[in-house]
Amino acid sequence: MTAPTTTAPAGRGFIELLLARRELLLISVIIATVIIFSIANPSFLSFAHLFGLGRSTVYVGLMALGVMLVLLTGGIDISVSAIAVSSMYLTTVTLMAFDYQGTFLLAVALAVLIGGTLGLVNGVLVTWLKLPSLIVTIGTLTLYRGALLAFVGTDRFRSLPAQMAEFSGFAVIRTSDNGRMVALHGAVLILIVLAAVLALALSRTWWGRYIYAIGDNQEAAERMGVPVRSIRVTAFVLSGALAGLAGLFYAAMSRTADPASLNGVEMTVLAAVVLGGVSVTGGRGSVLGTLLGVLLITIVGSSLVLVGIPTAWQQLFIGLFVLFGVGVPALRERRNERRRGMVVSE
Amino acid sequence: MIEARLGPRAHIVLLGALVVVLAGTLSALAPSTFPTMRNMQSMMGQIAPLAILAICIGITFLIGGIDLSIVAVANCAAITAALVGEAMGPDAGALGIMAAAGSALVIGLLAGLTNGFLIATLRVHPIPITLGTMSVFIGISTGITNGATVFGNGYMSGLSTATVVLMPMTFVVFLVLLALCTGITLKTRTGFHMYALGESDKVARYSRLPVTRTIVMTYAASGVLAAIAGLIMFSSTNAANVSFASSYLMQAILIAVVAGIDPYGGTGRLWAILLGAAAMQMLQTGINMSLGSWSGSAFASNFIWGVLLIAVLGLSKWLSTRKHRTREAEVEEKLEEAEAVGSA
Repeated sequence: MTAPTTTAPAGRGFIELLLARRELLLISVIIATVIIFSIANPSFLSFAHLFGLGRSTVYVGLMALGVMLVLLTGGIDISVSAIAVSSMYLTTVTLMAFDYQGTFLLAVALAVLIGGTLGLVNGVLVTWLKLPSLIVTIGTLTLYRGALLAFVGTDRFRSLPAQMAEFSGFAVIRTSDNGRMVALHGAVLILIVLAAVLALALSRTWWGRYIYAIGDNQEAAERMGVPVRSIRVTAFVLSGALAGLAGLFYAAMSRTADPASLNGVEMTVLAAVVLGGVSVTGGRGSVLGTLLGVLLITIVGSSLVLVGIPTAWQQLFIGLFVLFGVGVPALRERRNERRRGMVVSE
Repeated sequence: MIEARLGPRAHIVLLGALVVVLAGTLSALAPSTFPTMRNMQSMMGQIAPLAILAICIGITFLIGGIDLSIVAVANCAAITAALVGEAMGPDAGALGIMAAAGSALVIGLLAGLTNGFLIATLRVHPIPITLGTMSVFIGISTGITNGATVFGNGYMSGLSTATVVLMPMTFVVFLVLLALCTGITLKTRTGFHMYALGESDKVARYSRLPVTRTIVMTYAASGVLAAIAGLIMFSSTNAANVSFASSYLMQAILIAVVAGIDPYGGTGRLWAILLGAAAMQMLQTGINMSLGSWSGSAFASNFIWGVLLIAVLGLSKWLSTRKHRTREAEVEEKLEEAEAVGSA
């Protein structure tokens, strides 16, 4: 066993800092990617492309915030894409049945309510029946999707209720790009506001502290008097509600309500969250990291084609990013353990 | 521990009863079509690749892990077999078949070794690792084929049409693999290590069990099994595509869980996958028979699988905790009796 070294060589301080803070690491990777992409193709930095990028982070971002919450408590939620599509489609079908012409807020409320209810089902199954959340949410993923397609319908609606369709044109910043008017979609702002509220709630409230405490050590949290079950249920409910909102925004922004859409998105969301530094064993992760993970995945997913890499290869890059994002911090942790002589050799 | 690691017997009894009830009901409902040799053979042929994928999930569950990349590996192997077969030309005969199948198996082994080494050396939870490698394998397959379907020249079809003792060859392959895996996990030292590792990673490490080797071997086996499943799928459709069988991952997990293998590791009987797969296939056939004319039948079966997964898991959990509680109560009673005797 070597003597533990406490001070790193001065030159490596910056690298160490980057590796220690996942958010800094992600920011530097994103900046590097943006620089490489914009050198390879200057149109990467056009307003049209950047605004489009922002727009496509919205639905993955909203779902990722929810999945992050569940992961922080030490669980996992695979069912978000099914919840998103179910809430979106049920809301659309209901509003169309009543020939609804009122405000978009009712659609939002309905989608969030349906999503929250489906999330509640997950939460109750996981916490009260004490079933593993991975299996439960895989079950509800197929269950929700199957029920939607079998009992509600398979029709794709291209003409949405007026207020929903109007939302797709909801712009906050307008500017001209090569004489063409481009606008940043307001949903990006909504995502940022919700993320900020969630970050504050996680760092400034008892609820937020409990979330981290449960994920870090459920047994200890329970003995400290933390209402473990109810807090874990709130994480699943919020995850469902955010997924419902994500689904509604996705349909409204693409002006189509397709019950077969968003298939497999749960894997992209999970990849983004894991890339963002959220531990799948709970207790570690941040809102900022999650958003950066979503941003990086979106940039890689939508921009490779700009630098001449065929879209067929994008999945490979997403996979490599996830492996590096998980592997590099893990290797560093192993090394630190060895330095402290904590490792049990085999 | 040796007995405890098999898990609650009530679960197996329950599952066996489910299979018998399903078979009985379906035979009673359709006496002329269900209990026929032809139907049995077609059911066995349909379930074989999925059941082999369920073995992948089963062995990784046993060591407390999970392999999310199996369907990606299966498709990658099938695409490899198709491309190698094409490169060898239609006249290569037996050599062509060997080369195609062999390269597919090598791809599966390499994929499994990659998973195993990453999980063992990084010591990260297998969910993010196999999620990442799944994406990489899908990415490579998509990149090579450009997302298009590649076709074989029918040289593998012998595997899917041949029968052994009235059973389709593919199902026999599944049975042999299942027997092999069950034997290894229950009778060998490696199997003992697998159960021990699944029970407690920490205890296994402190006991100086070969943890790294066990992890790598298990995921390598999972990769090879997935490649075999991929070959079977390729042999029956004579086509391979990255997006084929996308629902198989969820269904394979479903079969493993229904078979009573604990996703947290250390408990379960692999052979029960046979019962789980039988229940699954009969349910599917039943749904097709009764709802076949309805357009939503394919989706309704997804719904039913989801309900079944949660119901079986919940029931088995309830049965085992109830047994646990009665045992605890017995012990407490005895203690109280002893105390009463002591104080008197």
